[in-house]
Amino acid sequence: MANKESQKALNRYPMAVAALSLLTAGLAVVHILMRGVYQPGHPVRLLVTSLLVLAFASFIFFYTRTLSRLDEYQRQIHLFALAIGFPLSLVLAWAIGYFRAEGLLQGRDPRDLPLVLLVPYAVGFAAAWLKYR
Amino acid sequence: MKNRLKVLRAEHNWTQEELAQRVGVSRQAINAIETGKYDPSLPLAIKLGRLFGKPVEEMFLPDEHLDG
Repeated sequence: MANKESQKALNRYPMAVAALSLLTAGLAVVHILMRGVYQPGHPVRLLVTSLLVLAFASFIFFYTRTLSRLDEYQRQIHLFALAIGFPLSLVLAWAIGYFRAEGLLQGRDPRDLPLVLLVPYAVGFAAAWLKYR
Repeated sequence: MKNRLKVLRAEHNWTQEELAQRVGVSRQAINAIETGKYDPSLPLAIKLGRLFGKPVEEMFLPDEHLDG
């Protein structure tokens, strides 16, 4: 399993995941900044939106490829992160929805919710890292 | 769960990296097993047992076996 080829893949995919996550976050920020400049449907907005979707989809693709190549110990860390991150995400999404209904957080665009939901996963990953380091 | 992995590895003069490559896991996994932070799956435990020529129950022991 851990021959040279799979070891190369193990090293390569996390780099792709890191690069694509940065690209996705960067494009999301560009999109947020662009909203006040260009009208919806403007070619520049369409281009950035398309790139954002493409980068996010590529991120998910490489992320799942990376997970499938991890050994049982590394997979345990990610499962632990998901086990914490998923319920946290549910609570966060539920709380945001309810607070919006109560008139709070109205200024925030629901399109950006997935970006916010990266925080619970990061919390879960940090907890897993502390547990298994 | 306690284990004798570190002792057995030292007897063979293998580094954690070498042992990891022999059983197909990461060096971090070997380190986590040796330090008792992670209990390996049954297939991995069997693989380690076969590599060292020891029965699994001789390599991995519940805590009370060592405490008593």
